[in-house]
Amino acid sequence: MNMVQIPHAQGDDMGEETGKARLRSGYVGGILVLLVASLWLPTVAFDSHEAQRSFYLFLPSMGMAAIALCVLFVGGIHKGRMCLALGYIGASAALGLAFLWVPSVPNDAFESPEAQRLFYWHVPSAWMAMIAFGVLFVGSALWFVRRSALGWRLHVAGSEAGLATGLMAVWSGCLWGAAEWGVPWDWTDVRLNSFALLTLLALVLVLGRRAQPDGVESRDTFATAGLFGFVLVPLTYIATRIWQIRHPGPVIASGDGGGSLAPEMGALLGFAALSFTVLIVGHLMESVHLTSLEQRLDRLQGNLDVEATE
Amino acid sequence: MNGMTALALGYLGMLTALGVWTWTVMSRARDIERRLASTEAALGLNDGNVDPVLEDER
Repeated sequence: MNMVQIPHAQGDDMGEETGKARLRSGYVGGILVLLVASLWLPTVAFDSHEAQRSFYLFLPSMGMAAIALCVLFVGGIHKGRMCLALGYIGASAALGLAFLWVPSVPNDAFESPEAQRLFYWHVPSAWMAMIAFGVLFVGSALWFVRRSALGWRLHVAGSEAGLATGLMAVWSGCLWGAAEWGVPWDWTDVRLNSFALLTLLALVLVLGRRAQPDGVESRDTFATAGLFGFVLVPLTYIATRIWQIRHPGPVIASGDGGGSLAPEMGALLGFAALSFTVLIVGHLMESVHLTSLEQRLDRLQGNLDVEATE
Repeated sequence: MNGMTALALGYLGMLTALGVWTWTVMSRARDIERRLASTEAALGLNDGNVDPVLEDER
């Protein structure tokens, strides 16, 4: 009986695998069709050459989104690493373009046009930091409410990514502030100081976790800090809308129906934001995986210690 | 040092820091995966997705 059942079970597995492979091929095929359509449709849909040009400027962003979706669906167990590599390549390309190409675009949005290059580094960094702090909040809540192992891994990933990206945004902001305002920091500006506090919170969480033995009580403490610290995220977001002291107000999604960005600048900012998003998603996925591996190592070490003492 | 040189250095530093951070995460994961695979194979263990702190609490 077993000799009959085992090949049958293997056949089912193989059928399931074939089905998954077909589904993945379907996703890849669908995305390729979308890419081809996106190249051809603008010539049909838009009469004006200018409108077509604006559309084509956003093609790198669509390409990045399509490749990232392919990676997420067909990347298998290494999709986190593939997202990391893809995001890093995209971020490098965006920063290279920002340094060499976009500053030639005439614009009146900045006092110091040369320092405009920092815009494509500073804004995506702050965007990544907001994603990381969002993940930190969700992870802290999941740990606190459900004692979820995944929640704790998300907390760890969010705090580490929040620290790195927060420092990137603060560092680029200081450089830009020095060029644009003549001073790198303004202690009276709410946006600057609330964002710095968020980065400081991430620093406290990362260093505190390394200094404390891992346990339920210490996790509860850090999760509470993560939960209450998240209050700073909406405060940071609305700060320039309520108290505009030094940091400029929003130049995109300002709510008044328009922004001050030229199409080329918007296209590059979009590409940079997308590439940095893929990078931070890859980092978060890989960090969750890494924490899970470290926990397995701890467990093995614990088992070995028990065996040694017995 | 003029402003453009400082900016170029800032950009290079940023790209290097991002690269180092990315590479560190990837190499740490690869290293722990290798160590785990060999240790678990030697001990005959295979249940991977367990959090030791939660296990202790139960």
